[in-house]
Amino acid sequence: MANSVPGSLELSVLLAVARLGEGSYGLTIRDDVSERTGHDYSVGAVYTTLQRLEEKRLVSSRISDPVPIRGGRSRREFKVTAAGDRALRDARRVAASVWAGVGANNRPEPAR
Amino acid sequence: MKPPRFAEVLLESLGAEASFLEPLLGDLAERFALRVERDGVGAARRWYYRESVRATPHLLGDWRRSLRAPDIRHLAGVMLSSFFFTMTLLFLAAELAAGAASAMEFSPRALSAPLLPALWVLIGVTCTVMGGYIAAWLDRRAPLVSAVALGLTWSCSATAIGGLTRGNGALAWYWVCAPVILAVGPIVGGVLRLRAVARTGGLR
Repeated sequence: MANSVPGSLELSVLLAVARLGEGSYGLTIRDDVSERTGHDYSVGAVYTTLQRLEEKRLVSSRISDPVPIRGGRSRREFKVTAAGDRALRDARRVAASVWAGVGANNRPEPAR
Repeated sequence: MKPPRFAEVLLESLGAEASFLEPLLGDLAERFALRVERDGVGAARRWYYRESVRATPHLLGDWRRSLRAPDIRHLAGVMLSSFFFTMTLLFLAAELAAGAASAMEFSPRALSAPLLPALWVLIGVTCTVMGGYIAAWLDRRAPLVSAVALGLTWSCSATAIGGLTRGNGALAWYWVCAPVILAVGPIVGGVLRLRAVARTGGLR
């Protein structure tokens, strides 16, 4: 199962797909991730990450109808799978666990 | 307003699978259209070329991931075919030149010292550019990859031969120039082929 654990960019992209919902595609995902992380990712980097997530079965994709503004090309729309949902819940639980006991000033939180 | 066709053909020539390439090209085209409205054509074109460069390693990565044994055999076949094609053309050109020189009672030895190396460099550049053009012409899936692979193979072979024979009496400039010309020439040839493709339509 270690292979299905998303890495840092994978987690950001998976969260973007979850946030944007069905119909999210490369550009919208890239914009969302770039805005939130402050890093200008290329569309290629986002598609490589989405491909890895799809190989891990954390997202699935479908091809839309051709869109004129895209030169008649289709969109590849992504959505989070049940396995992706589980991976996000696990990631949230692990993040909460590893941050536990660390205060806002990055010092140990006083015991209650 | 459409994105620069040459840049699109360059991206198509890197051998990525359609399922990876088509949505990516569509996304770039969609954002290009928005940028034309917002920033003007020139800025949008510059943005497109910059994004194309940034997308290149990812498209090459997809090509590498999707590489199977038949693709490797195909690539080797393209490289060998373009090598023999180029050598045949070179041989025919040399025969013609020799025939013309003998008809004019001219000996290449009569050429002055700087002219003879320049002639060799010119022949080398022409042949390698032609080789790259032929490789890109023969490979419809990943033409630029074939041209680059041909250049790297030729360049590495020349370097290895130079190293093994320790120059074999040839001048130092030759062993410096040859690998560079052999590597860059086919890439230039491949790009020239893609320019021609971009003018007439596209690869896919």
